[in-house]
Parts: sequence; C-alpha cells; structure tokens
Amino acid sequence: MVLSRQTGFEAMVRAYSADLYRFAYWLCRDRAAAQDLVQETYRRAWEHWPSLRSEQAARSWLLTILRREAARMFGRRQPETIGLIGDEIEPGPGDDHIDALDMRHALERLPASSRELLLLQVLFGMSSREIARETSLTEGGVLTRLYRARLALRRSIDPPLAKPPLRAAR
Amino acid sequence: MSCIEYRRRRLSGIRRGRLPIDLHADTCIGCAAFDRAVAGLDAAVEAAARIEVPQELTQRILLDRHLRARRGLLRMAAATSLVALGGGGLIAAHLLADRTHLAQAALDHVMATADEPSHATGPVAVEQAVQAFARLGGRLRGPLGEVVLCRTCEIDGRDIQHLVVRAAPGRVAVLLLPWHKLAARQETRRAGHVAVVVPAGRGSLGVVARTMAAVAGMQQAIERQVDWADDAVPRS
Repeated sequence: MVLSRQTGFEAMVRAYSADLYRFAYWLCRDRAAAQDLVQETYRRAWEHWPSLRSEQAARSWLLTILRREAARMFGRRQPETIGLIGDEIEPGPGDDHIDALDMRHALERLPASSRELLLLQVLFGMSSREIARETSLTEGGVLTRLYRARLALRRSIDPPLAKPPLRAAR
Repeated sequence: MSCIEYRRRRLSGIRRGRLPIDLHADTCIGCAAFDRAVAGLDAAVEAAARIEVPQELTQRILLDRHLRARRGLLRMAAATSLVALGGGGLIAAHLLADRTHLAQAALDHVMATADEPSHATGPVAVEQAVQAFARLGGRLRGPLGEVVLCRTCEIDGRDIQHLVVRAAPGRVAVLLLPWHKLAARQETRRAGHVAVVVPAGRGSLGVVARTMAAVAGMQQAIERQVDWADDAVPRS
C-alpha cells in the first residue's frame, strides 16, 4: 500500500535519512556534500512520488535516486575488471578487536565502486542479487567485487598471512 | 555443497541460519573459520561505516519540503486569483499570504543555514556589516555585538544580507531584506526560535533568535546604533 504523499514522505525521511546519509558520506567522503546529496535525493523523491510502487520498495527506490544523484553530482565511475573468487579471506590475529578507526581508514582506501557495493550489503543488508539489480552489474561481478573489497580490507588491517589451502569439494 | 559454493553463497549475503549453509559450516572447519572471518570483518565494516548523522538532517529535509510547498501554494494562489478574479484577486491572495510570510521565511532561512560548516565561524570586518546595513538605507554607527557572519543569501529567490551577531543573550540572526517593505510587523515562532520582521529603511529587517528577549535586545541595539536614511525607523 502506498501512503498518502505527505505522510509517506515524512515517514520515509525519518526512517531512511540516517542510512542514506551514511551511504552518501561513503560515496563522497564529505559530510556537507553528503547532506546535500540526501536532501536532493528526497527532493527528487517528492517530485517522482507517483512512481513509488509500494512502501516496501521505498528504501531501494531512494537508494536508486541517491546513486543517480551522486553520479550526476560527482560523475560516473568506470567499471573495474572482474576476477574469480579465491580463498584468501581468513581470520586475522586481531579479529575480535578491529579498531574502528583503522577500519574507517581502510574503507577510505578502497576503490569507490567496491566500497559502494560492500556498504550496500553491510549497511543495507542487500544480497548480491539485489545489488546486481541496483547497480546493473552481473551477480558474479558483484560477488567478485565484494570478495575483493573484503580481501583488501583484510590486507589493509592485518599484514599478509600464509594462505591455508582450500579444502577439496565434498 | 563444496567449499567454493559455500563461500560464494556466504559472500552473496546469505548468512548462517539457512540450510544447507549451516550443514556445511558445521562440518567444515575451514569454512567455519571463513564464516567467522567474514562475519567479524562485516561487523567491523558496519561499525566503522556508521558515522555520526547530523541531528538536524531530518529537520533540514522536511524544512526544505515545507518551503517548497509554501512557494508552490503561493504561486498557485496567485495564479488562481489572477484567472478567477483578475488583478484584485492577485492582490488579495498576496496580502493573505503575506501576513506572516516574511517572518516564516526568515525563520526557515536561519534554521536551514544554521548547520552549514562555513556558518558563523569567526568575527567579520566591521565594514561588511556597515555595507550590509547601507544596502537597506541604514548607517551603522556603533557595534551591535560581535558580528561573526555577514553574507549575501537568498530568500524566495531574492538577495538578502544575513548577519549573525554574538550578543549577550546568545547568537542572534539579523536579516536585511531590501526588496520588500512590510506594512506591519510580522512575528512567528517555531522549533524553539522566534522571528520578528519589521519595516526598516528601504525594506524590512528580520531578527531571529531563541527567545523574544534576545530578539527585543537586538532590536533595541539596532535602534540605538543605526540611523535610517529613509523615512522608516524600525517599529517593533
């Protein structure tokens, strides 16, 4: 069911603006620009309210608007090459106490497109299929980038470890 | 399920708690470790990514919508009046909308810009404040307090001078609106702020603060320190 425009809009602002802001911040890494981006997203959302199909679709609808606005504001990014999933993500020595600041710096060093996909999964709980739909990538491409993003984070936080072999298929 | 398939599924966003994912992780030490590593990493990413959200963000978005809606209504009222009643209707609609419009617009503007990073960061040159008042036909003779912001902004698409003064009761915003001279004082209150706009010089003068006492204090300071070249001395 679609709520009345004003009520629905206000509910949508209260429900999603914080997550959208965080996502916007990690897209542009500028707090003021992130606020502008979120405000512009909601402005567009209001203008295109009739195209919102259902309340349940609101979050991904807003994300789509935000990503388009970000692309408009900051320019489109080039796609990266895609590889295969390996077996290098292994527990690090300090996994229980990964410092938030270290992780924040590691996130900042990630390629923007990989960071974006990882945050769609981690912040918004989207599956690789949903991310693929949102980003117009193949699901395999999304998986590869997610894997690489995690691997890069792991390497950024911990020194490289000896890789234990992947066990044979059962 | 092979280890590669398990890991692929795990990375695709499918979490523990779903068969046959659980079965594999329960029986494969390597994949159980992989699962823990990914979960730990994701938790750390999530914690790091959850940066602090500005408290005023929601209010800012809703305020933007409110301002746009009001502008739309004003335009609609004017257009409807023009079509239905001709020029007389247009004037009537304008007067109706104008009753507190400027005070509300002043309040909206101050609240919407208060969180800007460049806002009110330090003292500004006295000459800037003198020039701002001069645009409204006023001669600033003495200090109103420490002026920490003086810049040109827009309200309803028209230029205004926006000053922020650090005075005894706290920060007070002074808006100089040269393009519209009010016929009478306007006052509005919202979200812990008070806005009063009065006719002054060649236009109108708005004062926005958290309390009416702060507004009145600034109005008195302006009355003491500003000579108005035009006929109208601010009437509070």
